[in-house]
This record gives sequence, structure tokens and C-alpha cells, in this order.
Amino acid sequence: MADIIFAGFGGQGILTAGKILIDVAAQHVKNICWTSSYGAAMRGGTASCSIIISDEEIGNPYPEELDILLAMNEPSYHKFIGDVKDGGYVIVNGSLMGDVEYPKNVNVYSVDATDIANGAGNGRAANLVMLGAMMKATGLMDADSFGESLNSYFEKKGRNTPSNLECYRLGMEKAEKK
Amino acid sequence: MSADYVLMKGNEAIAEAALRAGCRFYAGYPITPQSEILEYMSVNMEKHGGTFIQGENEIASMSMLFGASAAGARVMSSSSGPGFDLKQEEISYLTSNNLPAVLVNSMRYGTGDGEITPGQDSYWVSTRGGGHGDKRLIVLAPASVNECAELTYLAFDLAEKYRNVVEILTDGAISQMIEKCTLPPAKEHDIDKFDWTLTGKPLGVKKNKMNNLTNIIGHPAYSEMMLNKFKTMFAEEQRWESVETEDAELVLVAYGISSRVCKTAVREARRSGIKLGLIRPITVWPFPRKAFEALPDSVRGFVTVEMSISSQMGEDIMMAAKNSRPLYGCLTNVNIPRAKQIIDFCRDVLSGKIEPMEVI
Amino acid sequence: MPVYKTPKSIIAPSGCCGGCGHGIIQRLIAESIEELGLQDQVIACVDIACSEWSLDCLDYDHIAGPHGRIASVATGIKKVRPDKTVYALAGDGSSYVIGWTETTYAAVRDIPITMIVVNNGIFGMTGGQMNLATTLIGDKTVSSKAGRRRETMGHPVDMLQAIRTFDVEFAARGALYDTKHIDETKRFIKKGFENQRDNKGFSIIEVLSPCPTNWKLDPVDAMEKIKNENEKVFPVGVYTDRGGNK
Repeated sequence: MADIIFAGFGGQGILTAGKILIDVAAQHVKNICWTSSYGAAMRGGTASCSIIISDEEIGNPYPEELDILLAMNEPSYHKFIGDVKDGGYVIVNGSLMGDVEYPKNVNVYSVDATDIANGAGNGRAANLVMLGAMMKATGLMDADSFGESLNSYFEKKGRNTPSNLECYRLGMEKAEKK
Repeated sequence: MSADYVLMKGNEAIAEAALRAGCRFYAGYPITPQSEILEYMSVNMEKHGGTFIQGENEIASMSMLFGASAAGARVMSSSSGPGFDLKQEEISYLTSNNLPAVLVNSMRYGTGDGEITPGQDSYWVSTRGGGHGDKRLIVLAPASVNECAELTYLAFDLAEKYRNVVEILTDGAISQMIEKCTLPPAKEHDIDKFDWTLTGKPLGVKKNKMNNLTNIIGHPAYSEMMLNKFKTMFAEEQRWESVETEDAELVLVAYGISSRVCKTAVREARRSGIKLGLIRPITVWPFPRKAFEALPDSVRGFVTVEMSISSQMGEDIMMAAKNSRPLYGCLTNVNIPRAKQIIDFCRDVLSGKIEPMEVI
Repeated sequence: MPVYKTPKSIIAPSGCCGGCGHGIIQRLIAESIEELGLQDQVIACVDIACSEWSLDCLDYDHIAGPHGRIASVATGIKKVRPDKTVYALAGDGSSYVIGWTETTYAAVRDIPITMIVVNNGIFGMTGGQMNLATTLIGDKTVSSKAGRRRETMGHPVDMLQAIRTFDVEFAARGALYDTKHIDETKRFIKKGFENQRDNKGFSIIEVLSPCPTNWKLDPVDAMEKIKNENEKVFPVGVYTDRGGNK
């Protein structure tokens, strides 16, 4: 159904964003698989996780062609943009992108995730802004029910705040097609 | 997959399945990419009334395991790469006393310190290793998170059935990925179940003296018993999955992470008319020779797909194939293979551009 | 006339060389265990070197080896069967050289086992090589033929001085060169088992013990050497006793 990569700096909540997505997706589809770059890349370096959502048996857990790329900084965008399929979706964090000419064969959406999260007083929630933008752009799942599930994900972890959902909704609102 | 799933990393599934199998003693030392097993045990073992010890080193951890197994508990340890090397001495001791234990080797690539990323080049240390002396370990190679749980649960029963060390051979990819997993039911193990354990018996009652078993029963009886055990394990415990081998032109042979990519390669190659099949060993010892017995005449050769420099599994495939067909090596060393790479390789094999591999 | 009773736990003679201290130590262990009424619940862990000779002599469940790891093996057993009396018997090579880490961390974890270390200043089972921790400066062994030299081979070290800093329950050193010291050694060993019975922490008793075969001395001269030389470097007595009774 979808081959996805989330990428960014370590510490931007890339892996968590991926875990939220599979947590929700797993309720609706047969198979999910989440893999990550681990170990030395945990802080400061590039972090990425791959997600495959499928009703078929998942073979290779590392996507070779992407339906969706979520890039939280510019180096990650450049690293993975070549792997996105024609007609695929790319969600970029406008706060951390320079002047980039986006390719025409893919659908690029930009949202100023870092600025929006900081503005909401929840700097760690830039990943949730990105998720909001992604749901709006791709329609991968029902955006409202994804929001509810996101809330309950943090409730389960015992560290939810109302601004988490707010950041997600702001991502939905402010995402702009490039 | 039942609706009653959890999302877990391979490492966590191994640890949870071990607890559900009644494992009540874990000792180990941290090393990437398997540390989540140790961490999971540190959080959860005591809730089950068991013992978790972060050992001062691998050898001490394994020696504690040796004692705990002798005392009747279901025991587990885990490591990777250089850490797993250090466990070899005690595997030999466990074997010499016919003691059950479950070990996890989550392969990281390379020699020396190597990398922390996935690899498959500890195949030999797992299937041929186990320290000095003559021994066999049953080695189970999961290829999914669900199988991590399923095979770990099974491993404890096999270890007990044969009074043997059973190893879960995973890799950095399988250990670290999150998938849906159905967990097996929890059960308790009775430490007084067997008569061979150390229990602290009253004077006059026959004692268990755990020394080299040869000192007690003599070499002829020991040799016969062990050979019989090796043969029984070899005959009874071969496990594998065959994928589309019925009409295949080339049969891929791969386990663990590589087998996952091979499944994709088989599916995609068939879309473009290349008939690939796959034999996925689930036990790498005993190697599933039976899987190679009834292959159709259409099969022109085997392709081993491994993350190693030289082929480590090649010898086993040659013995299983009995020289019936040539063997080709798609060896990706530090890189996880890609489906396209495997398909291109197979296309070149079929068009005669690639020579069979000499197994060295 | 005094009557010497053999402990019921002793079911066969020791296989040690003539004049070896291991046999005396095994007897002191058996006597201590029986005097405390613990004989029906013992699990013995012995190192694979000369300590292994006790495996067939004492009527307890036994496990041997791996060399140097006996404190770890005993840890594993005690954790699984905390209500049993678990002791570790090992030499100074096992406990202080190849297995010093394992001995150290059993002590640091304060595992409630009784560990008995035979300090005979030499590797007995393998034919009399130098022991890094316990061979005295100047002592000749098959791997220090001209005598141990500090400059190239380091010096003997009193490991009980280190262990006492680990906050263990009990650490003491005894000797076997006369009846007074044998009696004292037995009190130490018995104390070690009492501590375990009372669910206290780690107890270690080191025993200065002769190895006439590898020292190439007759048994009497070997005892004299301990008294005149080894005890000077390795003083006997209680090093730490957390429970009091100093």
C-alpha cells in the first residue's frame, strides 16, 4: 500500500513519528514493518526510519522505491528524493529548507514544522506537524481519526499534552503544495 | 496473523517469548544490536520472579548461566559479534554436561570490532562454533518479528528435549525491525522437573556430579550417546520454507534478512518472466538438506544470497545439493542486498555471464 | 582418649598428592557443614584444577569448572536455589588470576555464598607454574626457574585487602601448618557457612595450603615454608566481618 521513509536530524523525533504511524496503520492493514538506522546515528546525525504498510506479506523491509518521503531537513531531502516514485509524495520541513527547485514528477508539500512547533510552545512536536501535513497531502489515512489515535498513543505513553494534537492540526492546515 | 497482535522489535519479541517460555534466568553484557534483549529482561524478569544479571563480561555471564541451568532453570543469554565469540568456552562446558540453554546471536557485520550494522558473516561461528570439542548446536534463524517470538519459544523446548544448547541466529535488521507479532501463551517451568539437576539432596541420596560426562560414563558410552543425539537432531529438526520452487529455473538460498529481500526478488522477477524460487532455511543447523531432495528438473542452479565476503553457507548448500547443480554466490558483504541486485545477478547467471562459485 | 569421627559427608578418600592441603580443607568444609546441620542441602561448586578432587569425596551435589569462573557458577546456582547451601572451592589461580574479575563481582554483588580459596602459591594441576597473585618473590617454579623476579614478573598481592573494601560479609585467611591454625581455619570456614545459613552476604575464606609436590619439598618442610615465608606476605586473620564478632 505504501513504502515510506521519514528522515531528518537525530533528535527531531523521526523514529517516534514512524512509530506513531505504524501504531495507527497496524489497526487497519494486515502488515507493517518499521526499520531504522540505529546506534551511532541516534543524536545529531541523520536519523531515518523506513515504513512499509501492506496487506501483502512484506518481503524486503527496506523500501527500494518510495511512495512517501517525509524530510525534516534539507540533507535528508537530497539523500532520498531520488528514490521517490513518479507521482509519489514528498513532505518537507520548510523551516529548514533553502532554495530548492522541486522536481515535477512528484507531489511536494511544505510546512514550516519547526517554526510552527516552536510557536505553539512545543518545540519537540515538529514531527507531529509533519505528520499532519503528510495526512493532509497523501490521504493515506483518515486525517481526523489519525489525530485521535495520535492522542491515544501519547496517552498510553503517559506523556501527552493538548498541544500535541494542536501541532498535528496546524500541520494539516498549513501544509502547502509546491 | 491473529487480530491479537503487539508491535515489537525483534529483540523485544525474543525477550518476551523467552519469559513466556518460562525463562527465569538471564545474564548478559551489552552490545549493539542486541542490547534491547538485555534491557527488556532488566525491566521484566523480576516481575516473573526470575533473575536478571548484567554480567561483568560475557564469560562470567555464561558461567552464571551454566550454574543456573545445572540448577534446573530455563536460561538465556544474548550477544553479537565479538561478544558472542567470548561465549564459546561455556558453550563447550554446557555441551560436556548435556545442559540446556538458549543463546541469541544477533549478527553484526565484520571481523574485529567490525560494524554495528546487520551482517550474516557469523554463520560459521554459529553453525560450526561452540568452542572446543565435538558438538552440534541447533541454530534457528528467524526472518520476522513473529518468528523471533515463535522460534525462541520453541528453542527452550528443543534445548530441554535434547539437553543441548539452542541458538537463535538473528541479525541487526531482524533484531531491530518492528512488526506485528502474536505472542505465545505464558507458561511456568518447574526447576525440579528433571532428575539430572543440582538440587542439594540429603546425604545418602544419589548425587549429581556435573563434571565432564566422560569421567562418569566413560568415553565409549559418551561418544555413542552424543553421536546418536547429533544424528537424531539432524534427522528430526530440519526446518525450512520453500517459496515457488515448483517450476523455478534458479533457486535462491537465504535466511534471515537476506531471505526477506529474496522473497521480494522472487515476486518481482516472476512479474518479468524470470522464474526464481527460494529455499529459506529456518534451521541453519541442522541445515535443511531435505528441502533440496525433490526439486524439479527445471532448476538449473542455486544462488546463495548472503551478507558475507566469502560464502559461509555455500558448503552446506553444496552438501545438500549433492553436486546436482552449480552454485552461484550473490554476496553483498556489508550491504543489505536489494531485490533489483538479486534479480540482475540471476539474469546474468541465466545468460551465462556469471561463473559458478568455487566454495573455499 | 579422644575419638576422631569422620564426617558422614566424606564418602571416599581424596585423590590428592601426599601432604597436600586440599584434603584437610575438604574435611574442614564437611565438618563445618555437619556441625551446622546443613549436610542435606548442599550444592558444591569446584574449579576444574586440584579442587576438583573433592568431587568424588564428598556426598553433595557437585559441579565443576569452567576454570576461574566458579564464583559465577555458584552465583547462578544460588539465584535459582536461594534456600540451598552453595559453596565454591577453588585455587588461587582460579580465584585471583584468571578468574579475579568473576571473584570480584561475586563479592561486589554480595552473593550469599561461601567461597573457599586455596592459596598454595603455585599452579598445582598443570605442573607447578608461577601464580601471578601468590608466588613469592624468589620462589622457583617451572615457569620462573631462577626464582620470581619483581622487575619482570610483578609481585604477589594480598587480594583479601582488596576484597575487604568491597563491603562483603566476611573475609578471612587461615593456614594449615599446625593444629592451632587448622582450628582457626575451621572457625573461619564455619563462619562462612553460618553467614550463608543466616542469609547474610558474600563470605570468602582463603587458606594458606602446602603443595609439596610442586614446591619440591617434603610435607613437613612445606608447612615450615608457609609459617616462615608465605604467612609473612599473606597474614592470617579476619580481614572484614560485617556482622561483628571481631
